[in-house]
Amino acid sequence: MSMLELKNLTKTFGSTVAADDVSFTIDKGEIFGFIGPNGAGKSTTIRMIIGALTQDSGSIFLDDTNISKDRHYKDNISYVPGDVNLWGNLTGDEVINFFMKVRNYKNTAYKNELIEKFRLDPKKKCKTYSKGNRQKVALISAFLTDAKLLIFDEPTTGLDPLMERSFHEEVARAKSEGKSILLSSHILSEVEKLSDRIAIIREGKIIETGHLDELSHITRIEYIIQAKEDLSKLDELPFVHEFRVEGEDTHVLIDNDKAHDFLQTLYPLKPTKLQTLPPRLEDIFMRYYEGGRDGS
Amino acid sequence: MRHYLSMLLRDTWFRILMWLIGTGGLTLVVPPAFDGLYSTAAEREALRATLDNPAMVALVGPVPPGEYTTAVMFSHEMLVFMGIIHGLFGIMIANSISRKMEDQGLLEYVTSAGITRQSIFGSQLVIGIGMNLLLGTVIFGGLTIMNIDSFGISGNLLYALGTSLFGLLFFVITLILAQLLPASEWSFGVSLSLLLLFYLYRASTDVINTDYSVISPYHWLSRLEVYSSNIYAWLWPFAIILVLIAAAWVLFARRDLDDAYLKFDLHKKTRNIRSYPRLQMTGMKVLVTSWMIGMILIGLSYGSIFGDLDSFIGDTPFLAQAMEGESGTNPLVQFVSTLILVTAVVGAVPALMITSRIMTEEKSSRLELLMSTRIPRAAMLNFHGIYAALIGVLGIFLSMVSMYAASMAAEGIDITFGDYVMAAVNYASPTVLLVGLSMLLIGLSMKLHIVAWLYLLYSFMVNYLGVIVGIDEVWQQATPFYFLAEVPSENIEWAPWLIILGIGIGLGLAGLACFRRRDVA
Ligand SMILES: Nc1ncnc2c1ncn2[C@@H]1O[C@H](COP(=O)(O)OP(=O)(O)O)[C@@H](O)[C@H]1O
Ligand SMILES: [Mg+2]
Repeated sequence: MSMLELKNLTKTFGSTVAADDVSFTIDKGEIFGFIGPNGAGKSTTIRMIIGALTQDSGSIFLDDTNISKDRHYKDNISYVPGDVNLWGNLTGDEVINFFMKVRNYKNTAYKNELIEKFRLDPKKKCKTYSKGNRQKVALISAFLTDAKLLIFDEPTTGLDPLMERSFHEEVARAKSEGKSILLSSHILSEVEKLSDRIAIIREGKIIETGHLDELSHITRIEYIIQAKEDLSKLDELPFVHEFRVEGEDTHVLIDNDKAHDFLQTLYPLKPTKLQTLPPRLEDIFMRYYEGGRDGS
Repeated sequence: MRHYLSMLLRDTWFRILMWLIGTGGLTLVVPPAFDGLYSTAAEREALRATLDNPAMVALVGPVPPGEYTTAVMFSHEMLVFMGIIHGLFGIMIANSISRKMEDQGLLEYVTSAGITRQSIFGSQLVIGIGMNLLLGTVIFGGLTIMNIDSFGISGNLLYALGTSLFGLLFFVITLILAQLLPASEWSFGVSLSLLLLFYLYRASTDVINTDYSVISPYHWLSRLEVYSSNIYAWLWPFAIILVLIAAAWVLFARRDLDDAYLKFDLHKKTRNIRSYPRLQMTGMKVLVTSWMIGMILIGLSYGSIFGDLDSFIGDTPFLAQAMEGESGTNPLVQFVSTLILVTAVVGAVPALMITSRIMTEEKSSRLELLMSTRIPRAAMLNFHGIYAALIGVLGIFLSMVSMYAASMAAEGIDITFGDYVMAAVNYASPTVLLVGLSMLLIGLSMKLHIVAWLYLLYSFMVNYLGVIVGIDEVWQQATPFYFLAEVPSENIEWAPWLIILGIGIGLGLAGLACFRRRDVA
């Protein structure tokens, strides 16, 4: 049932190993988050999937067919790069029409709906568009296709929060139509809500794959606490990290799989405020590497 | 300003360096080549008589008075022509650090970071002045160190100053156009047109009456009379640069970013662009149209002097003899054939610009977006190759037709319309060869493509100098043009024609095969 399968992809640029033995699988109808800091190798991996780069080793299967054996595999893929550049002298409308024509897709009603939804002024020349507007043009063109796999490289970096919501809605709609979606990002919270599963990449290597809940052994959640009793003794506990006090608030990072222990310790201290912040990618790496050190 | 300047420099130093090496090199290889080519004064006088004819005057400017030493020969044959290169240098760099950066939103970005308009404009000027000063120093230094007979220090200095100021003039003109016009394609196109129009204008007024030429900056270079009278006073007209700088500053300071004084909003209607070829043809419309007009102008200006050429050659036994050649054909026809050859080399420029366009797509990562759809990469490059070859050949054809039209009134030329058409056919095959080379280089790596331009420049120099001083044939053998017949003075030779065509197609196919496999940047 896999839509896309990457097997041991490796790509080097000179001495940089941009992708190092990357493997993961995206199922049909699944939203897959691909997360890693800048320079981790997300774009490199994606660009191998769309055929812009040839891998040094490894293979890519789309719908269980090796893409090197299927000249038409791109018919099933729709891709939006992280930094969209368009033809300055063409209007947004002309660009969208162009992509519809070359992909042989005709649903103008849906096109108008998307233009409306993303609040794009399609009559303007692309060179007058901001980064966000160029991105909208590419996103609209991608959502319009009937490709089975949609690939978005850092899709929401140029969009404002309202547009980001429209984007999320369209991704959900695509999923409900049975399409698979690959979303890359360097911000965990951005894709975490949407994704069925995620893969975390760092320095070219996939370090974890799975549902975020399953990844609780490597995540930490930040708690902001106020309490009647003295909180400073929390700092001594093994699962409490980066203890710091900011005015009335005390901030701590707690290993996610130790939430139970933490709350039990906290209860006698009579907490009056308890707020959580979503896990951040940096914290995951911190814990991952501390864990790695402990294990070695 | 220091910060902005260093940022600009980091962005442009390599291109500037390439221009310095290219232009400096092109200038400095010529004096040693000329030295000893004509050892006696009598030989040089004979050459000077050859050059004192309308065609050559149109090409390189009026023959300077006084003794025709090797140095004078150098400045006469190089200065005006090199003006085009120096001007192009100024235009390319000025446009890339002004309007182009603005189009890309970089200027807005740096102003938001607190960099003032003064710093931006100041940095642009420093680069323009600095790079031309540097080029002048290289040329002056090179000429002086070579210390060739008859090349005096004063002349060396004047040559360097003249070309540097000429480069700076077009740098500043481009800065002004960058304020006036709404996009970098426009500022580039219009300043390039000015550079060529001033040249063509001078070409015809130099033949008719040099008094009219004074408007053209190229003529100021001729008037310097470098290495003979060294008239420094003719540097004065370049003082207009100061006025232009002031104007550019005022225009820049008084407008909003991304705004322009002249705006044209063409095509309001949504165009139906439904394929990659359509997309590219739309994008290259301005490029192709302006080059086709340029090729027509070249044909017209050459053709219009053929009448004078005839009477001139009749009066000059030396030239008649020189042009008679091996075959004993009409010397006039021989001369026209050589001009056609030079025109054909120029005609390959738009062809290479068209193949290069796919690299613009690649650099802006649009190619990646395109190839993620079902358009195969090889098909895209293939389109560029075919379109380039067609436009290249069309350009040559148009210049031949206009040459014929302009020379119809000229008497004593028995070149028929059919001959001109055959000339265009003749030079179709080297155009294909150059396009094929270009495709192969693109297929291998974007960085290598500069080789195609250098090869074209080399072909131009060799054939251009070949016309004037008859340089050694060995140099010409490295270009495809050498192996072809010189139509219309000779009949087409189909064997080499076909071989060159075949090599071109082979190179193109190899390019497609490589391009399909290589990584996209
Ligand atoms: N074309 C290239 N040439 C050389 N190095 C590259 C190229 N593309 C990417 N890299 C390098 O590969 C690494 C991974 O880059 P990338 O895949 O773009 O990361 P991400 O998309 O996760 O930010 C980086 O160190 C980057 O500098
Ligand atoms: Mg990236």
